[in-house]
Amino acid sequence: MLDGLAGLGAAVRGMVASLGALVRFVAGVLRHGGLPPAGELVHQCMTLVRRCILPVTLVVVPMGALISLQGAALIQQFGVERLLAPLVAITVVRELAPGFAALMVAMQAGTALAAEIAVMRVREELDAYEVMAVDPLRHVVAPRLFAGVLIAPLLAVMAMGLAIMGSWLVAVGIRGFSSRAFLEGCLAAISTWDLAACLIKSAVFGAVLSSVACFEGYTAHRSAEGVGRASNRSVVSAILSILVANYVLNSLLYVGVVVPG
Amino acid sequence: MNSASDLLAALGRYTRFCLSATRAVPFLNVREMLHQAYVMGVGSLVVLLAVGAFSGAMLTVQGFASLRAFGTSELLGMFIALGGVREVFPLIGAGCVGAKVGSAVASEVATLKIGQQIDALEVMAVDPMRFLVAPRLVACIVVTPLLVGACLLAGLVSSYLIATLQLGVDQGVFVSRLLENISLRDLVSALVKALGFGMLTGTLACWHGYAADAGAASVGQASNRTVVQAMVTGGVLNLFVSNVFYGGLL
Repeated sequence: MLDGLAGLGAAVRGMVASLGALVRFVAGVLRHGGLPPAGELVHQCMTLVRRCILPVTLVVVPMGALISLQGAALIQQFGVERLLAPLVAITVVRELAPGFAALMVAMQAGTALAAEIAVMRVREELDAYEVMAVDPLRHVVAPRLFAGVLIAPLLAVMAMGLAIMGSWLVAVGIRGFSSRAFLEGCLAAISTWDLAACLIKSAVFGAVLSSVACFEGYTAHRSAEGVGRASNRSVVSAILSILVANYVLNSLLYVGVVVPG
Repeated sequence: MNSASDLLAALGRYTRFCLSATRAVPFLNVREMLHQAYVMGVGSLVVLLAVGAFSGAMLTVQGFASLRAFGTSELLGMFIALGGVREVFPLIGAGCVGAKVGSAVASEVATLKIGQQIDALEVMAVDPMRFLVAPRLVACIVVTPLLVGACLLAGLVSSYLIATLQLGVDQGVFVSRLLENISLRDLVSALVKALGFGMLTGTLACWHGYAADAGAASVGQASNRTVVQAMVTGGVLNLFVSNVFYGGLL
């Protein structure tokens, strides 16, 4: 029991320490790196889109179908069929699209980024940049960091459309809801504020996951094992930090941090 | 056309790998299996508890915001039972096991492979399937449901805390709505999902690790592919299991 507590304490202390190191790293990139070179930024954005478009699609469409499936079962029980479309639309726009788009970007691009930068470390490419007086923070890290912030909202918007398509397929194709009523219900349920909140959330998630991935890659140990560990740690910490950020943002955006009573 | 035939070829290799791993399961090294299960379970427990706690918090806040619009925030307990216990906690928990355990196993096996240590095992007439792959596979299948269960519990506890302390929902109403909407069927469905997910994670991780050819880059690639493919196939599996347990698709 005491051992367990001590282990928990050590884990928490480790998390806080690495959080501090992460913040210092990102601050260093922003201060010394500044804005990334435009060509490299565009290239990184394109890479990110190319890498993530298929995984995001493959995960989000079944999720949309799932919401329709569970939602329809629940809603027909209460006899309020007209609420299915708002339920789907709100779930997708508020949580599913930003959350799962970011999750898949963290899994696909986050691990790849961490491994890529760690491999540069192993092959001494980062040292070579420094020898040539090219700042690796500006030329390697900053473009990847900014690309995450720019592309995550884009993928979230795409995920939104795809998830609603997935739930449309189940609701209209299988459960026999009217297509017109479903789509109109979806559109009516989504407010501008929800869309703005979705973009804000996914931009924050993008920032979090790409800084975690770049940090783990940049600080990786110089060995094949170090590469593996960097990509493992990057995906785990990215998922965890996305969930934490999500909770904080939900409280701020939707409830307004109330502590009633 | 080319990529379709590549995909089929990869599927064939994966199936063959799974078959030979399954054949090795009865002869696996039990000590190694227990060791792996311990490492995976203990190493991932804190992460899974944290993931469960924060997804519970996220779900509760979101459910409260949506239900409050209809003036029915006393249904929050039901929302957590139907949304959280049935779908969100098992799915996010399993996805996180896939990410944490899957990428660790994949990069470990890949590191062994490119260090030619798997060849070394074969030279010593130790079957790497029995010694390396089968123990990790079985450990993964055993540990995933336990970790998903921990994630689920953490999710429920955190929903309760958030609902009562942050959002001021009446605790009696919340708990009774929650408990009356959780059935044995939900738990069995979560168990089936976790077992399936563990199987996918274990086989994909070992397979991608085994397929690493040379260089540090292939270690990262193995772990990347494992995590993504486990999540994608797991999402589809989740849809089918939900359909079997709750009906509605066909």
